[in-house]
Amino acid sequence: MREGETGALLTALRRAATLHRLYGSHHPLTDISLTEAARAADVLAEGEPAQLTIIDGSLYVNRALLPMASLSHSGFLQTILDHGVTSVTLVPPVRVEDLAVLTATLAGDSPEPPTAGSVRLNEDNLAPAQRDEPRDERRMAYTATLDLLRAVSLAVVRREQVSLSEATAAVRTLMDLCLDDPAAALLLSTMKNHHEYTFFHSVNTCILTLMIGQAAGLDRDDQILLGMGALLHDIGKVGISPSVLQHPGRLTPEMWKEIKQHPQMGAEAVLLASEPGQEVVAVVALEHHARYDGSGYPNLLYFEEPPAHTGSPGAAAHPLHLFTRLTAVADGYDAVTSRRAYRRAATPPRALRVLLDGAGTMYDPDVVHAFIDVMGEFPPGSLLRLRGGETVLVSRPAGDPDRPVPALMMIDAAGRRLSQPEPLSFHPGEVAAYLTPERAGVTPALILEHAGPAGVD
Amino acid sequence: MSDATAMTTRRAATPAPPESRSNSGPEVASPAAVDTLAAAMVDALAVAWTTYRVYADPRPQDAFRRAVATLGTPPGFPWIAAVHSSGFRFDGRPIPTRRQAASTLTRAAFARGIAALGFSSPPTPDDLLCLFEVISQRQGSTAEAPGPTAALAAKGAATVIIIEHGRLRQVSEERGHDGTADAAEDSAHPSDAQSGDPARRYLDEYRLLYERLRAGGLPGLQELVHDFTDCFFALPRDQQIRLFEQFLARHEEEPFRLLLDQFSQDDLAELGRLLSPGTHPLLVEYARIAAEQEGQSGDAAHMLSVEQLVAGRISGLLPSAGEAVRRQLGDALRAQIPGPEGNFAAATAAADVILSLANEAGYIRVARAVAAKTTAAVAEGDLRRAAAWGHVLLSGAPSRERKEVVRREVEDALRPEILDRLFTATELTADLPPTLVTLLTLFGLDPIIECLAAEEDMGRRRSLVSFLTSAARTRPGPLIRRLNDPRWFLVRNLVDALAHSGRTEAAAGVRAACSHPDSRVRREARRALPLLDEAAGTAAAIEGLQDREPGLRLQAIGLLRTAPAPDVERGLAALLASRPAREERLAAVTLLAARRTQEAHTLLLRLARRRPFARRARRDTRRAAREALAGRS
Repeated sequence: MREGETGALLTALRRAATLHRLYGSHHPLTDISLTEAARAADVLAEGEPAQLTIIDGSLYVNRALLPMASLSHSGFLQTILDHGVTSVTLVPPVRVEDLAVLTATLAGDSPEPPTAGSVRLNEDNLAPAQRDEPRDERRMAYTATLDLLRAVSLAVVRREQVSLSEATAAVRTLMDLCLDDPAAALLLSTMKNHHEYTFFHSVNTCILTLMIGQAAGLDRDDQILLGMGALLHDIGKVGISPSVLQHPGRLTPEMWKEIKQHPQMGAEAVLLASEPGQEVVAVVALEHHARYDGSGYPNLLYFEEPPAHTGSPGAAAHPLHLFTRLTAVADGYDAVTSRRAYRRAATPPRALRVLLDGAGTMYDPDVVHAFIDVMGEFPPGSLLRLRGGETVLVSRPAGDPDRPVPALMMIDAAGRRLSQPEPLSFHPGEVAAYLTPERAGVTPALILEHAGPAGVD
Repeated sequence: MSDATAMTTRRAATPAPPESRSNSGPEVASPAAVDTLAAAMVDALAVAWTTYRVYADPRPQDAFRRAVATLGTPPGFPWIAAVHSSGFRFDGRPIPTRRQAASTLTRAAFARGIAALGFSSPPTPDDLLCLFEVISQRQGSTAEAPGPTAALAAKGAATVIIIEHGRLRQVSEERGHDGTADAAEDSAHPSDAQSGDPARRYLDEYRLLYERLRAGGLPGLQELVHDFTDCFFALPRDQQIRLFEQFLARHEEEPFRLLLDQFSQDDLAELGRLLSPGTHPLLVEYARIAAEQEGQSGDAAHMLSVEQLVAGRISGLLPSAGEAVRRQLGDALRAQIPGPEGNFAAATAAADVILSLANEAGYIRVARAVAAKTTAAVAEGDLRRAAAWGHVLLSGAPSRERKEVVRREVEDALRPEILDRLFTATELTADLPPTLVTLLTLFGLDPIIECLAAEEDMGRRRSLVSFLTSAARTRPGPLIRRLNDPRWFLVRNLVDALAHSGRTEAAAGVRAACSHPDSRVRREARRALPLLDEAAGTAAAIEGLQDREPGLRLQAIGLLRTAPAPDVERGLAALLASRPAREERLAAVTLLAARRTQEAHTLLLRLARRRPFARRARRDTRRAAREALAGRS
């Protein structure tokens, strides 16, 4: 399972480089990270030299592309490239001291990249023809949507003309993906990248919202609008200063004031870009922080008094648009399960509990229940420790609370990490603990690459 | 931490100079190389300090500029050197320097309570001057003045870092003497801070780095907090528990609150089970505060319990998840799908909010977009949607400034083809939705007037004039302002529209149009004016008796038929004295005959008198006058 080990290696290396840059080498905390990295490097190399190569922003281990690691560590990979490193060859056993030189290089402290020892830099690069690149359409769709969001954000920042036509196409692709293989789509939505949180979060929210939209019976046209709203709901954050978005604690009143601008900024950008018939996408951006009970922000004039001039969809209709209420639940779920600047990630069941706690106040209770119905009690991607000691990853919803939950065993009862996950269904009563991917050392979305659609069946 | 300044130099000790990388092999830079670079930095500081003390404004001096440039190129930022009374130190070693000013600078900084100074990024000349000004302040004379850090912050010198002795002492004292938490920590770890105990080192390092970042304006704070949070989970469990208890005990201190905030509910739940009973209530209280910060309910106790979460399964919290319930839920949501009309209604309501919240620049952008959407709907022939967008513009312009913005944007959006479509599609103004009429009236009259000027089709011209007439009843100003337009045909239409608006403030403009160079305008204006102002209309008609165009003189006679003013007879007399054409003379006589005034009678008597050798026209006049008099008798 090279994605997992490579991800662990990159995480440890990034942390070690940061600690090195903050307060030098030979620090106990740096040493801890370097030891972790050496362990992951040895597991990755499996006794043979392994080469990590970055080509066109994607990471390859030997000849195999690692799409998930490429996505989730894109920021660190760029940092590596910025320091002139295009490949890292690991010759087991990998020594901590050699990794220390690598992290010093990445921290800008090493005069010369290492070319000998157990870690060698820039030895050789794979020619394009040598790459063994799986063309997984789900991953490609996810990446393409991320690229689209990056482009749209840049255009919004530069106040350039933005077109929503590409967003429409991207949402259509994701929508098909959700229809074709809902379990795989839900697993894909567990992709996280803290450094590009907003973009990953937006794509995940889009996928999750589409899943609820399909369950709610929206037609195709409405689903596209819904998906666009979910995809672009946070686009206004491009106008918020990074110091506020990255503040690692509670926000000051001034910071709150700034952050509260993003719904209207996003709605403005979307409204300006929308073609006739697409304007409802701006509604989602505007309303996504307005709560079901009328609190939240911004202050929506029509919450108390629906607009008379246009005619509301029905007397019983809630002032918040249905698309907003659908998006808000998916938004909340992905936010709680993601690492934020101010909080570590929580487990999926915990996130469901948060949604349930907020049903009727923050969230539309019907939508919360529909969402849980889609996700199941144990959402795909959930990592659980069973009473027997096994660590399992939920691969698809059970469909019925009383039926066994389909899962894959990642770590066996003896604590051994399995190179190939094994199917293992469990009953809810067997669950001993919930784990975050970070704590379990497992990236749920990797299952897609390793097992393919069949693996999650 | 026994030597705070040694800590401050650790970061600066490791970088190697870029130029030395190619020569020094794979090892890190030698201490000698590091010292050489540090010496260059200190030399530059000394040079800058000297010029600061010699010149009132050292910034133009070459030496100062070179020094600033050198200070901008250390091996890495932040670059920080320790300040001792004897000089600067780097990596615990004294920095050799050739500049005597370096020692005066360090003494001054030391006396000011500065333990370390450096730069978070290349310093600007102004920032460097701020640093020197702060250092130059005498401590004794500024007892009430802020400390160096605060003084520097007040001056806005963002690139400069200084660390005060006081702050380092405070950290040290807190650890050694203050508070039960510290005492508890010390009792658990009686050894010195440098003992290698990971939890102790963790706290020390975190506090110090936090202080350093704070002094430098907090760049990289998130990275610091995240890395320390991640490292926390890499520590042995017993160390985690001791550290976490420290975090909780110090939760009111900003650095530790930042760490605590990082823990998710799952983390808190897991740690909560491991904590001592005395600490656990603090955790519950903290989790409650954290949950409330996120808008959740204050009942955090259940959030903290993994067991409860596992036992109280999600499915148990839901209504019975049977097929019937599922269908009911689906039906409930499906019933709320708004459809295109609902989507549109929501979008216009949202646009209302967006406009109301927008700042000045945003308002212009959104107003432009909404104006474009209004006209796009017109182009599609969907006047109802156009009216809805128009309503957004109308309701979102409460102030004069914003109205002006809307006017500008609507004018830009009302291109000729849109107006053409508008007035063609609606078959005259009768079909225009009232909102759209209001919008066009308030913000679109100029483009419509231009459209009228360019329009050749008579039918459309009539519909445009008809619209302008109704618009002028509300807002005649734009029409009045255009009465000076050089295009006679436009002025004539505007006069017509104004005349039927009934707005008396248009009378002066129309009165002026009675003197328009083009007779067609004069004719229209004289015809229109009485509708707005009868007296002015009569006066204009009397003037019209002297118009150079015979046809207009005849028109004037006709207009005066029922005018009561005595000036009419005088005007007619003047007309008759000017030897007008036979037709005018007869018309004048007819008018006189119709008027029952003494002046008219006298004038008729004069015209009826026989004159020898009169021309035929005169004879016709006399005959008519006599007949008129006979009729009177």
